[in-house]
Amino acid sequence: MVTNLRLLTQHVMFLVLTYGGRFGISLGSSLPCFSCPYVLGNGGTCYLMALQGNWWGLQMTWANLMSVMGLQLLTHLGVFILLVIILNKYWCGWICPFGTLQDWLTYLRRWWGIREAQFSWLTKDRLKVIKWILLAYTLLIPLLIAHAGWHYDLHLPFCRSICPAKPLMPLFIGQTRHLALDSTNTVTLVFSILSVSIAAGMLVGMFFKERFFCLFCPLLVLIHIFRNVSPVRFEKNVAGCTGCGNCHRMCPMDIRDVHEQKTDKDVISEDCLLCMTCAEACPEDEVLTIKFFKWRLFSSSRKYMTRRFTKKKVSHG
Amino acid sequence: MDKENKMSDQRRQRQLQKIGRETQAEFESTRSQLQQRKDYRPEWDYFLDLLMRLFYPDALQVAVDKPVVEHLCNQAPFELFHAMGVHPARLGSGSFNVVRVSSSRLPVLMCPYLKATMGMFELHGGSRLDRLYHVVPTTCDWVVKFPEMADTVQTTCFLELPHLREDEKGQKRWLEEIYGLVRFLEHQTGRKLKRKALKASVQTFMHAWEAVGRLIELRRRRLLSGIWFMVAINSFLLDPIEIWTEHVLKLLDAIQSDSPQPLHQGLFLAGSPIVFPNFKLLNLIEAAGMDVCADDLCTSERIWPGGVCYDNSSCHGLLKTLAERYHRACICPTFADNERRFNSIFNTLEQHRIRGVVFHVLKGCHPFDIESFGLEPKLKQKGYKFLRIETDYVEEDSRNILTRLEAFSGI
Amino acid sequence: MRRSSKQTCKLPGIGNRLVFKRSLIPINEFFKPRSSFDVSIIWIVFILLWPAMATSGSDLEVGGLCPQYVWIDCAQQSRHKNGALTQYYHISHNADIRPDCLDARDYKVLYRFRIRSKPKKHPYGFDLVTPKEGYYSSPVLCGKDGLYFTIKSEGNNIVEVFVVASCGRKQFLAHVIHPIFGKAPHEKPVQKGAAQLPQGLPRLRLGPKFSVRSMYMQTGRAYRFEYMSKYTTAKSVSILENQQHMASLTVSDDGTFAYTPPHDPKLDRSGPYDYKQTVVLVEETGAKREYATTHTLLLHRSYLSHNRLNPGLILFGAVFLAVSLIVVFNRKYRWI
Repeated sequence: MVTNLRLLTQHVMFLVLTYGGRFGISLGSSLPCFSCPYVLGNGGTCYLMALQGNWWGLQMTWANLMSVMGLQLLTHLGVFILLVIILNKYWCGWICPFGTLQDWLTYLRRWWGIREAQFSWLTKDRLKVIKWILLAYTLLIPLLIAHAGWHYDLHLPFCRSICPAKPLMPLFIGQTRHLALDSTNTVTLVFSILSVSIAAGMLVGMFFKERFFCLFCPLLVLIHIFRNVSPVRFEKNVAGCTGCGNCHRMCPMDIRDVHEQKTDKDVISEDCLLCMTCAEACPEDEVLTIKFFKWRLFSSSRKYMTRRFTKKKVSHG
Repeated sequence: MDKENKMSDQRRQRQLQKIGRETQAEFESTRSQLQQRKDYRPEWDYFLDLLMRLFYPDALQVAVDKPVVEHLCNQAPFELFHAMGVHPARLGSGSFNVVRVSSSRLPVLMCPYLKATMGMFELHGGSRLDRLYHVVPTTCDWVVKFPEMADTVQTTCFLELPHLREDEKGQKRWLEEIYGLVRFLEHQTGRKLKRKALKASVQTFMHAWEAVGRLIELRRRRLLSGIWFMVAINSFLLDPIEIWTEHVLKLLDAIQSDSPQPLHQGLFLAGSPIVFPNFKLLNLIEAAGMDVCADDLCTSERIWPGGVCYDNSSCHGLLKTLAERYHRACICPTFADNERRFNSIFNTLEQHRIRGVVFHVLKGCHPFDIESFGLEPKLKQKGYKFLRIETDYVEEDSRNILTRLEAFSGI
Repeated sequence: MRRSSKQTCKLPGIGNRLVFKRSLIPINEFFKPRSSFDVSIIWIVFILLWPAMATSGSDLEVGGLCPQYVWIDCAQQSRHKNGALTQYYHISHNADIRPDCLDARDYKVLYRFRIRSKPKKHPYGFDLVTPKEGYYSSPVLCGKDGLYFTIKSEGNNIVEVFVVASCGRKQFLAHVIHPIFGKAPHEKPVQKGAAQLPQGLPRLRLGPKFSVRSMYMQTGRAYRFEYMSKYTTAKSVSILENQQHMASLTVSDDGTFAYTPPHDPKLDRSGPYDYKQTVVLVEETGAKREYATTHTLLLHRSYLSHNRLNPGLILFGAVFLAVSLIVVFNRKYRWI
């Protein structure tokens, strides 16, 4: 049931965020998900562009900061923080259209019976730091453009050189121009080479590894910062856990924290997308619970797990 | 010299025949005792017939119509055997009589469960022509030495069980072992493991798990006695799994349509395995006015780790899932990082308002023996009753055990 | 291109200008403190030259000559605290001559906004509803860099500016049209102005119709102009850039001509909002007067012309294949 609800939500939000602008839907520019602004006619855009940008973002001089532009910056930031607090990681696991694209690739791989690539625990831990590096890259370069006179072609550094959504998401509206190399000058050429190469590499990664890009997503970091003030809670009854490891195995992000946690009840980790797959797979009753304020949204149970993972028709092997 | 050997062999044959008859009688009498119970119903006959196959292994062979692979313990994934077109048969016996077959050649303090298994092995050695190979995970010392004692090392696939399972190294090593098992089975059967077959097997066992889950639920509600539950679950893998599942579902429908009355005070049974026809402790518990409504015996509720959920349906993904499930969810006390295994006991006690735990330890079963000393203070700290019963495959201590159980029920 | 900190702003829309040349007339030299001997010499020169100045009339004569053309030089922008934007313009003669402050009264500045229609379909779209008549006037002021005027916009608008002047028989009309991105939260509704453009002046217009995309004027894109004049005399069209004559064009019988600004490597190396000013000059001799009409094109570097799709697709495919092979061949177990 949770999986079906999530699938429905993901697909509806994909349509809304990719094509909604053509029907007059505009959810603003402060969305905490990868709804790419380069997709013309989108129903709302990713906050990272506003954050980096020179209208409402870091690439703003002090003089403009003290004017109504500064107020607009604060408005956009405030809306972003509010959205993050209300839904927290649900943006990642249930709404983000780029996440939905990654899930489609995963379904395709599963349908073909190709196995998922695996990282060792050490590699996975080492990869975590990349999202922090990307966040620093996203924040620092606009500041340097605004205050240290760096070349303006370095603007929107994350969107234009790193983010794989920029070349890939516009393909859904038939636009291929972001796969082109921009030979205007050296900076634009390097940025476009990086963008196209990273998109190609990420596409392979996203096919062979579930939610591959989410390992590197700087927006995930920004959302995670506010987890403590969000009413969304993911809790574990550590006394009830039998250590079966289903949660670790089923997690699209290969998070070990839920399985390994033996003392604290708060198990929403940095990489968590709140897809609730671990809670669905937990065979013990009421060990993993997702709450919104005091209300329990979902709790693990043996019956649910059995029903969820038993297919109705069986072909004898 | 030859004459002496010949006489010795003849004596041995006569001894085996005698023990065989007595063991057969033991099986038959236990069966008839069960059929004479007040809560007996005809649906149980199917399961009782299956349990007789523990004494008549050829019947199993005929029923499944596939090569049979015998295994000790529960760590080798059953789904894998099923997908390879072989039938997994668990080695293990609860017969008191058959212990005498090989007891003279085995240590006194050896686990009686394996002594009986060895005895049954020797008793039926001649008719095990189709059981060409065995799978033995290296759980406890007795299990590790069993193939050597049974002279089956050449046909045994050892699975080196990592005793640390919460670290990556242990999990990777176990997956390597499972891949080794796949290669072993492919070599023995001449077939390749197919992804679709494995996936279908997983689903088959999931259906069985669903049925067992409903049985467990009835048991928790005290609508199914511990002994009958043990009868049903001990017969697991003594018939093709699909047929067994169908009969379990029929049984469930029959029980639920009768609206039975709740039974005695429930208790939790933990510890060393209990296998038909060794229902001594279960009978004594009933005689003391209690009933086992939950357990975590590896021959009962934990006979297999249960439902397998996977998100990666490639061959590797399914094997990895099975490896992890059978490794991490196993409650065997041989694992070093086993602290969370007690959580399932506490959960069950709390959720179903069970007041006490009876811990069954077979003499010589060191891992469970050690574990009982770890569990006792934790239970008592939470306010639950605890009773440790150390016994053997003998009837002489029954009265003593009954007295202790009666005292325990009165506390 | 190096930025001049005084003359540039960091806002998109018009954005940063290229460095342009300053005025050659050392106006400031005349106003520094002097001795009484110096003052007396200045008065004698003034009296001797007065008749020459008196006979020149009240037009834009410099040294007795009329300038060849007048053009609007877009300068810096200033953002107000409420988000409104003020654009500064300089009035220039020919290539690099700035008119004297004494000539301020001879210029007439008219402008109007191309307002956004309601309801707005897109936050940055301009549904162009052109008021057919009515312009605002802006006073021409004198600054240290010469004559200038300003236009303030509260919200996002397209402004169309005309500067009208005359000198003897010559009639000048300078024109520029560009967006101004004001950000005031409460935009006052734009009213129609009260002034009117002088009748009978030839007009140079970008045509045939406006679109949002044309507001980001860029090199490599063809721009069609329409020269509307009541005369059928020969017209010469010159393209001027950085004080240099770049090209000559011919006007077709229907008064249209097209110009495709070539790509500029220096402009390409600057930022996406940097622009250069290219003046389109049309000169015509009428019955009694000569007309010099200019349009200032604010050209940015091309947005799409440098995009190479095929190399991009090849790179994408190559990286895709390479990474796939690495993943597949690094697999330890069976991969299906």
